[in-house]
Amino acid sequence: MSAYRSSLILVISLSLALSLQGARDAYGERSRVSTATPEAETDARHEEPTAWRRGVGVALSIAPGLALSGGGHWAVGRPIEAERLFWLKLGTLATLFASGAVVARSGASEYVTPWGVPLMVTSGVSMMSVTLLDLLGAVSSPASQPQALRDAQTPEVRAGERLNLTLSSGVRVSATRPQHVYWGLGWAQRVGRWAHHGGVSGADEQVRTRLGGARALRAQADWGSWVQLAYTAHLNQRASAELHQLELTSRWEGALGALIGPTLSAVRAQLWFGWAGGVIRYPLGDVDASSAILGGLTLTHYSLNDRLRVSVGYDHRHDGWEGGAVVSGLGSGVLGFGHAQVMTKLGDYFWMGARGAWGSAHVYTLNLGWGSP
Amino acid sequence: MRSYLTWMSMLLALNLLSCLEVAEERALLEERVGQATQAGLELQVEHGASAIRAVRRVGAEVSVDLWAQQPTQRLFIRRSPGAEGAEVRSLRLSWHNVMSGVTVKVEGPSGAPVEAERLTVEGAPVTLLTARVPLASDTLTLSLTPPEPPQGSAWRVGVFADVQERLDGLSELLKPLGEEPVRFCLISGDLTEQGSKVALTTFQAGLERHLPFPCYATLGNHELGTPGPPFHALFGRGSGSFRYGGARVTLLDDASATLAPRTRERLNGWLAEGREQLHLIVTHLPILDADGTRSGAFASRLEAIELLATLAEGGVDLLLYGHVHTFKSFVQAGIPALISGGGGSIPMRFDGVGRHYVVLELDPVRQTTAHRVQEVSPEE
Repeated sequence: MSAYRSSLILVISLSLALSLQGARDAYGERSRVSTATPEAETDARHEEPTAWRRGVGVALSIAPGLALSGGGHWAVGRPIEAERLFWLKLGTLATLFASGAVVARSGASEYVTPWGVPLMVTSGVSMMSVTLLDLLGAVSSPASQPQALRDAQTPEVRAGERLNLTLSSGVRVSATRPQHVYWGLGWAQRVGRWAHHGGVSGADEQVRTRLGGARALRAQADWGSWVQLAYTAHLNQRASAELHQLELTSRWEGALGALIGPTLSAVRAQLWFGWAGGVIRYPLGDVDASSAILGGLTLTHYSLNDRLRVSVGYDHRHDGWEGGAVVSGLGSGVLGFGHAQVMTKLGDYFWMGARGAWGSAHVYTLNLGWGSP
Repeated sequence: MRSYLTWMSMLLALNLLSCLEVAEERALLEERVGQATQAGLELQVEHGASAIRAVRRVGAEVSVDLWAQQPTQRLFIRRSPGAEGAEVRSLRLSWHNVMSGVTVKVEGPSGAPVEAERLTVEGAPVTLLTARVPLASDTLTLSLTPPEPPQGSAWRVGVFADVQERLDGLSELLKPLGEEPVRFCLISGDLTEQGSKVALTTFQAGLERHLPFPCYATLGNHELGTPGPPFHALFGRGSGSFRYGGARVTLLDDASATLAPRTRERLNGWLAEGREQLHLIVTHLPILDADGTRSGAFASRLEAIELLATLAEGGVDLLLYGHVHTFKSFVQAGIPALISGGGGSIPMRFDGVGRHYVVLELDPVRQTTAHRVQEVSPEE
């Protein structure tokens, strides 16, 4: 246990060191070329809050965070953003309770759970994300924010790039398996309105392959939407069992933070929702049909002229390397997993990142990416 | 920099949110079930097959209150060294949840028989065994052997789950169940809403009041609502396996949507022991969703698939689940599976099944099972 926690700390420390190096380079660059938007420049004339007010802002964003948001922005003198966050929190709360009530009153009916449970979980995660946004705004200064990204992020392919190759390696640990090596190779390519992707990953006598394509429905500066079709195969050699499935998801990515205010202009969100269906093949030859609801939310903070990206998110997937989260006192297996990633650009083509994902298994990886313009 | 620190804090919070050892903590707790060193005696129930609910000393007699989780029992009694142990002259046993007609056998240190006095308590449930055992030697072994069904004949067992907030209406379910010709009943979790000591004790009192046969239960996610949880002190182990009437029944605690590594290891042994027997596996959460969209199953599908593959290879004949408040009959990994979660909690709407229990008929010779769903109230 302590060994994998140590590896987590090592991964984070390395990422931070790289980030700080990247920050030094980027700030040097920015001192020569201003990239601030007119809105940000106007906003920069706002009085910089004192440390005391920031402290109050942090406290107000966290303390009533589950029920109320906006306190953080209000404390640092940003009432407009505070009001938006307040209503956003209220909306997610209302959706959470409404969907929870419908699921409970129906006795978790088969007609309700396929949409009610994901709605409940997604609104719950969104609710917590609003708290995070409030906290971020309370500690950030608009003047220090770089311009938000110019174009929406195609699923699997980073903005401004046509081809991505990724190499991942790290550690996976589950309740039933001690630490073991995890590895992954990924490929993604943009061709016109399509973004194709594929990959293979493995850990502890199990291999997972993935192949798919996403077609852009809309791709604008502030937001884009895609429909994605993928095939996934998971081969468990130890148990001689296989999972094969097709996944259809609808994805949206956009400048969510900019909708709230300039303090959050560097935060973008990606939302997805969909369905997976396939078969499970067991060692004695028996076959079961399999289906699943897919969905998730990722918030990404872009900074230092897009040399550093930090993201946190929730994924409702239960059949991946991470599985759903096992939370003490909430044992019904409903939750998916949480994940976080830090990525920093090394030179013109390379990215380096550290990712942690926490479900019923924990997966920590270091990722090296190459992207061609 | 401040915003990065915020992100890092979020990252660490995410790490702490999802635990890997929730189920393992309960598996460790289970290993202490059926053991007590108190009032001058050291008591140990073989395989933790009973919970020792209370040990009290009155004069030279020690009263022991137990709740059985399996039909066959063995209790090892040892006098503690010292003055307190030397003063104990007899043992008064109140063994709850045992089959009526159970045979009691007491042996001294060299296997010499010791006479136990069976006591009759006015108004006591038929599933309560009360006996006085003289403690003439420093060690005693007490065995309970249940009456077995006739060799080669089929026999029945009751199944229900998910009573939860309908604890006050438990009698509506148990009265008709008590009239069924079953040997015992299996409860696949969620006995109460929050798993509190008071609620579980009320549940046990209800079982004793209405049922002329014992019930063996595993816990559900609702039993985790009270820290502890008190289930193990009152009912015993949530995971255990026993043989009866040519069949094997294995109860598994999967209330945390996963199986503890220790339980998984023990399961391998039970599968090996039950390979030639008609083998029933009882869990609260379905290992894998019946329809895939609810996620009312194991948190990790990879773990679930792996476990189902192991159960199929281990020759398991029937999977019994609760958690989903309806009745469903389906097949997983080639193993017939039943969900019976109609014990009284908010019923699933639009499924055509109301509050119910299931009566299973087991034929250990033909290695077959048949089931009947008995509704006690139509869909509410």
